Order: sequence, then C-alpha cells, then structure tokens
Amino acid sequence: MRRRTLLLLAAMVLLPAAIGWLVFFGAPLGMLGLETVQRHHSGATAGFGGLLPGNYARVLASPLYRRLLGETFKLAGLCALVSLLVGYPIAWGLRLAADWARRSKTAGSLGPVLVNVVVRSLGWLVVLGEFGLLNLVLRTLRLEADLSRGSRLRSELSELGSMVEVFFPLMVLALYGAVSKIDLAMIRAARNLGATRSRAFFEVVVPLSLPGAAVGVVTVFALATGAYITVAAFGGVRVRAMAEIAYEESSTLVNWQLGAAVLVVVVVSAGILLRLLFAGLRRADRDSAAGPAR
Amino acid sequence: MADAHLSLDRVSVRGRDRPILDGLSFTLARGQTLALLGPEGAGKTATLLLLAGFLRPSLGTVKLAGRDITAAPPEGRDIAMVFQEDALFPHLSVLDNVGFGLKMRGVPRGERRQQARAALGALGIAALAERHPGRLDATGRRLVALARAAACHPALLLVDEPPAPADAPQREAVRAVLRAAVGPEHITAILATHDRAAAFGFSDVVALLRAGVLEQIGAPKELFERPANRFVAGFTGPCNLLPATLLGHTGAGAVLKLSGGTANAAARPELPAGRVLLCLRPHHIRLDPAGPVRGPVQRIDYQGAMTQVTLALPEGPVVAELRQAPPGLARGTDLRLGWDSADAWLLPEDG
Repeated sequence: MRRRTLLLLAAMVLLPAAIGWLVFFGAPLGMLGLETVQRHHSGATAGFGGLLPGNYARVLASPLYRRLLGETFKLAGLCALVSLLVGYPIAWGLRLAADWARRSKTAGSLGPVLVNVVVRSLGWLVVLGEFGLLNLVLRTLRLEADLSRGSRLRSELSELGSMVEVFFPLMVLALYGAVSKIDLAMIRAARNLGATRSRAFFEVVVPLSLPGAAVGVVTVFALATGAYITVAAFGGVRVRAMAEIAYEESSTLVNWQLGAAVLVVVVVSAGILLRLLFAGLRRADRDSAAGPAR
Repeated sequence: MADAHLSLDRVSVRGRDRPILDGLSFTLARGQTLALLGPEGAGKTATLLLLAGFLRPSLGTVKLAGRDITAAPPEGRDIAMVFQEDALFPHLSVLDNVGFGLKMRGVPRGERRQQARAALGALGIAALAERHPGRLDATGRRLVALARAAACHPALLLVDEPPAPADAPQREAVRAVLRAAVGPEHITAILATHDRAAAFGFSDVVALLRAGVLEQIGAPKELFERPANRFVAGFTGPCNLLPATLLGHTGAGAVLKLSGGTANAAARPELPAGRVLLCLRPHHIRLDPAGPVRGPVQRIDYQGAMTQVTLALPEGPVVAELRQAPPGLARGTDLRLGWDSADAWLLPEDG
C-alpha cells in the first residue's frame, strides 16, 4: 500500500518532466530520424513509401563527409582538451580563493557565458580579421611578409582558440563543482605524509576531480561537435565541420533528409566516441585501484 | 635539556588581533608523550599545525632531532599528524590510505602494502584494509587516520582531538588504542585535547595553554598539586581558593593566618609575606576538631564513595569531599576543617 503511494507520488513528480522531454526533445529527434530514411523531394518516391537507408549510405560513403567527420571530432576533442587544461587552473584557483574574492573571480570567469555566442565569435573577427588588431600590430612591426597569405582568420588555430574561448567557462563550471567539494585538509594530509605540493595535487586533487573533468569534457565535446557559428566565422572554405554541412544541406540546398542523416551520424558517432573514452577511463581507474599484483 | 628530541624556543605566531601563539618554549625528550591541554582557542591546534609546517612562526625556532625545521616544508619534516577531521583520502582504500606516506617515501608497492597491513594490525583493525573510508564509522576513521600517521614511523606523531566528539565511549576506545600504540614503540607524540582526563592519562608531560601562552608545563601530578596560578589550579580540577595571610616560613613549611587560627602549607619560600591564596583540592580537606577554619554546612551531596559538603566559611564558600560523613550531619551543622600541610598549596594573590 505504502509502496504504491510512493510509486504514484514518484510518477506524479516525474510526469511533467517526462512529458516535457518527450515533446521538446524526444519527438523532434524522432521526426529527425524519420526524415533521414526518406528520399529527397526531387526523388522518384516520397513519403513513407520508400524507406531507404540511402541517405546514410551517401553520408558514410562520401570521402569528403568522412574526412569532415574526422575533422569535426578532432576539433571538438582538441577543444575539450584545451578547455580542460585552461579551465583546471582557473577552477582550482577559485577553490583556493578566499570567500570574498571567490565571488568576483567566479563572475569574471563565468561572465562571458552571459554574452551571446555570435557576439563573442564575431568579437574575435575584430582581433584576428584581415584589418584586425593583430594584423595591424604585425604591419606596424613590419612583418607584412606573413600577411601575404591573407587573413589569419581562416586557420584551424584561430577557430580552435575562439571555440575554447566560447566553451571553457562550461568546463570551469563542471570542474569547480567537483573541486569545490575537495576538503583542503586532504592536501594538508598528503603533504604531511611527505607529498610535495605538486605530488599532492596529482595524487589527491586530480583523482578527486576526475568526475567533474569527465562531465566537462562531455559537455564541451558535445557542444563543440555541434558548433556552427564559430566554424562558419573562422573556418572559411578550408576548415569545415559537420554542423555546417548539415546546415548547408538543410537550408541552402533544402535537402532536409540528407542534412538530418548528417546530424544523426554525428550524434551517434559522438556517442560511441564518448562511450569508448569512459570505458577506457573506468578501466584505468580499476587498474590503479586494484593494482597489477593480484 | 641537552638530549631534547623536540625543542621550541620562544615561538610566536601572529594573529589578526592577538597573537595565536606567544613566546612558546618547551622541550620534549625522545619517547615522551606530551599532552597540550587548554580551552578552545588556546592555541593547541595552532601548535600542532606549526610543528607540522602549515603555520609559519613569526619569531622563534623549532628543532627536531637536532635539526632546525623552523622553515622546512611540511613534507620535509618527518612529522605525521592525525588531523581533527581525520582527512582520509576518499578515493583510496583504507590500505592505500595507510600506505600513502610510504608511497611518498618511495617504498615499493609490495612492501608498502605489507607495512600498511602491519600498521592496521597493530591497532587491531586489519579487517578494514579493503574498505573505503566513506564506509567507516567515526571510530574506524579515527583509527585508520592513526594507523596512516604511525605507518611512516615518524620522528614525531601529532594527534589533534576534535573539539566535540560525538561519542565519549568511542573516544575512550581510540585513546586506549593510542596509548597502547605509542607506549611500547617509544614514539614521541603530542596530543592536543581540551579534556583533562585524556591529558593526564595519556602523557608523561602536560602543557597547559591559554590564549597562545604556555601557562605551565610539567608532569600531570605537578600541574595538579603544584599549579603555577589560579588558571592552572582551576583547569586541572576542582579547587578551593581561600584568601589568607602568609606570616612566614618555618622548617615545617609556610605559616598562614586564617579566620579560625594559624595553619601550615607546603613551603613556597619565593612568596613574600602578606596576602596569598590558599589552594585546596576538595578531596584533601578533612574534618579536624583543631582545624584553622570553621563554618556552617550549607549543602550536602551524597555521592556514594564520598560525600560532597559545601560550607560557608568567613573566607567564602568551600567544597570538601569527605570519605565518611560524620553521623548526624545536617544543614547548619558547624564543622571545623583541616588538611595535611603538604596538600595545601599557596598562590600569589594576583596569580
């Protein structure tokens, strides 16, 4: 009786969220999935009549798409990695800061999240653009020779840089969540037992913040995979990502079916990649905990 | 002391509005155990953190085993500490927690595990080895923290007792283990506590701190029977302080004038004649028809092994613990009290 009341209560609490998820996430995703197995309207058959995996075949068979998929993941992975390296010292610095200083420092590092991605990305144009600040400085220093290749905007590096700038606050947020729970007495204990400052950091702080780092990497990797604006602004013709292709197929070429298939391929393969990453992490964790001498 | 294992020389630590430690000096011989006793905020934990290297003295020097460690980093001191909050590493098993110090010292894995097991076994908690700290109760965590500190065989072991432990019997159990572990191995150890019984029972030497100042240091018996001042007298146990006049010294000790006559007290020739305080422990007071003070009984508390009697003397109220109450004892009865002169201790009036 009591158990049933509890179940009922749980259902009542979860129902609104479940409905919201279905309507706003499940349904569109399902429709997107359905779209992928339909032919382009210019094709011979349309509608549900010809359920064909043709769109997927086209995406996976194309060397261009395969290369772009690889590049997208490479870029997203690098972005997650660099964000981790940049975000870690910041999160740890916030942890160590005094209470009064923490508030302003948190605002300083997380404030950029409040600014629209478009604004932030375009802001970089001012710095890195052909007539931007960087080139101006170089020109003044008489280093024009380097400029002959034109704007330095369209390089992977500037794209990576701006993506890191856009996404690393999320990494800081995820890391800070984990790091803030670490009792500073742990570090004292480690040093008291003979660990140097850096040894204490790697033996105690890093393992304890691993869950936060994992959340941060997943978040940044997923968002960077779907990043469109920064890629569009900086990638130019040479660096392109799958999100841009999907947009192009859907909006410019009005081939929604192919665009959707591109997206599904990206989402599924990103999921597989993350799965592999975590399996590897868990294995490393188990090995270090149990040890080889068993 | 020439063979001092640990010595602090006029160590001070500056605080925000008053010194955290002020001119702290003491020495400890190898294998001795010291209890740092004092109320909240006396500087007990600060002293331990200073010894462990987490607090820098603004003045003074600290020497351990002949080496000046005043400016040494925490990891270069060979001092292990059991923290108030235990501070076990939640991501490591109990065995790896205990082996952490050995790992930092480069002991190879197999040997490390063996030594960690031995350290756990010595405290009778070998069964906890594979558990994780989060799964332990307070006593278990405390014992593991103790094993972790002891496993490195430090030159000095520091134990910081939490200010308000949840469970007194648990605490007793931990202390018994601590005593058993420290005693036979001749570990030099310092226990910070605000509990007098723990300090007296645990240690060879007791140092009583108040507001960062060392009030007195000595054997427990010395602090109890020969307190340096009013604060030490009161903190080490119940104590009656009676105003008296010191007339002078004879071969039998100090001669005092009290409201009901003259009395003797333990000699303290350094005190000048004049107004003093007579410090009398309740259990040292007995009925004496020829005693130097007299007053009516105000209150009687029968406590089994003894009877606690409160009297109103002209000097003020006095509590006496009588082994055997006289027959017919009632409120208002006039009693005369006396004591052995060796048990009566004089304090300067402003002490």
